[in-house]
Amino acid sequence: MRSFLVLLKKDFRMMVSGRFFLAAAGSLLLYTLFIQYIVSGNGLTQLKVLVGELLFIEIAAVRFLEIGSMLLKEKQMGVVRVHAVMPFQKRLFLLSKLTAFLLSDLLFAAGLTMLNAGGLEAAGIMPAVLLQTAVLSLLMALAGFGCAMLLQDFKQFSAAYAVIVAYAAVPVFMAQDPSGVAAWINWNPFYHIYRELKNAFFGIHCAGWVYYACTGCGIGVMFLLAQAAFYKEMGKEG
Amino acid sequence: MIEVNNLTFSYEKDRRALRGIQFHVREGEIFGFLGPNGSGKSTTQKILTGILKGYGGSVSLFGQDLSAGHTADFFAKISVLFEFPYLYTNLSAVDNLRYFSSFYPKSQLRDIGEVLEKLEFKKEFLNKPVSSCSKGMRQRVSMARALITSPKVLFLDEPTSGLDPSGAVLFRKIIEEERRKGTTIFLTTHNMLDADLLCDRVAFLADGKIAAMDTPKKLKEQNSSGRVAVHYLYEGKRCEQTLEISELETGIPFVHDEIISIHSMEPSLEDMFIQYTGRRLNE
Repeated sequence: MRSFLVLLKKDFRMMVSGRFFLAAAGSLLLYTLFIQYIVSGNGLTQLKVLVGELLFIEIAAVRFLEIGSMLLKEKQMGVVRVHAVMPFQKRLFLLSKLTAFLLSDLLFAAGLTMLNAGGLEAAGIMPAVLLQTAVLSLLMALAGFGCAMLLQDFKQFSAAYAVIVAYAAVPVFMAQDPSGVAAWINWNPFYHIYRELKNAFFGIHCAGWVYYACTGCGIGVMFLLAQAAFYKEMGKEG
Repeated sequence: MIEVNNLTFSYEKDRRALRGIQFHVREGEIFGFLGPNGSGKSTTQKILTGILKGYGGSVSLFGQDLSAGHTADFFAKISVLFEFPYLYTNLSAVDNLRYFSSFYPKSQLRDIGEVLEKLEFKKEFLNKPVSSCSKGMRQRVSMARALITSPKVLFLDEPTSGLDPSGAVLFRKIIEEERRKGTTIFLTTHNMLDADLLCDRVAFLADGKIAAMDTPKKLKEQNSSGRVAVHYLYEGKRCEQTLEISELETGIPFVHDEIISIHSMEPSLEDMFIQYTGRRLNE
């Protein structure tokens, strides 16, 4: 537990020095201004749709990039290899990063919901919103972690980023024109996460055990893949 | 302390990095592992430090078979100095050392300031980000990271690389001090001077196999020609003669006015390496 807290403290410190919190606060402010400007007079329904969409885009696109850039920096400094010979369970290195990014995402989601939906309305939908945010945050952070470990530099990471974010964001763009939603979208897991996140803002709970079993397994499998990529990186030459 | 038997390792099916190497390192010994790039030095060190798994043969440290897994207790007893100074460049030297040492039991930690002072780390850089330090200063912080946890086995990979001559002398002095404290040291290097001056025994590694292993002195003696070169002055001229050592038993066997120098024609450790492996260390 002590090692985990040491790692977590260091990760938060890296996030502060990388100005992640500053960027998140800036996004929160910009999104809020944008939402309030767009929906003025258009009612709560459109406001919730917009908040859901922006929250999804922020977590899917920005967090993947942030965890990736932080890890690429650590890889470049060579410190990942130093952790390989430190006396703690190596999976804590990954768990502390996931925790740091998850906590910051939950805080962001809570802030965005509170600022835009209002205190009373936000309180009712908050648990469901945070649950769906956590699912998306963990998946994107694990994808970012795995890519940063496997890919050599920021150039390769940027290429992977473009592909993964485009894939993850497809449901949001398709949702703008519901008549054009094709059947194949059901095979895109991000479609289901996006739908559940959106539903959470309206207090609709239609996700069953299959959804949670699939996302749980997805997170588990991605954790193992990210961990394998981490072990591979530790064993590499200098 | 370290026991390695018939160690084999392959990165891919047809790429064998280690081909059945065998050695042991005694407690408190400095053991040199010498070889050119790609000879298997780093692979062996990674297996010994628990980074690489899936090897053949057996490896034990502290009397414990490593195939059984690596506990936090195992990692708390070893330290590794990597060839490059791997540090958080946005943190200061002190913060780096505080961070890395916080994973170890407090009872085995040495004082950060004291260790850095011993390594002649410049005081004005103590609280500045490591990115503002020279390579030599960064290497000192890395060495401090390795020493601060009072390891029982210290793995050093090219410890004097990136240091100026006075820095290299200082590091050798510190390595000697660690040995006197009873620390076992596994030294991986290209640097023949480091190996010759520091190591109790050395192993020459080439193509994943140990070609020779003994004390540097014995390796040189075994292959010595038993001759000396004598430089002298005679009637104002500078002359040279090569003699068998036995010829010197009764004094200098030729007329001369003044002896300038007598050089043993003992081969260097590098000559021995080439003789045993057919390769140069910097290949």
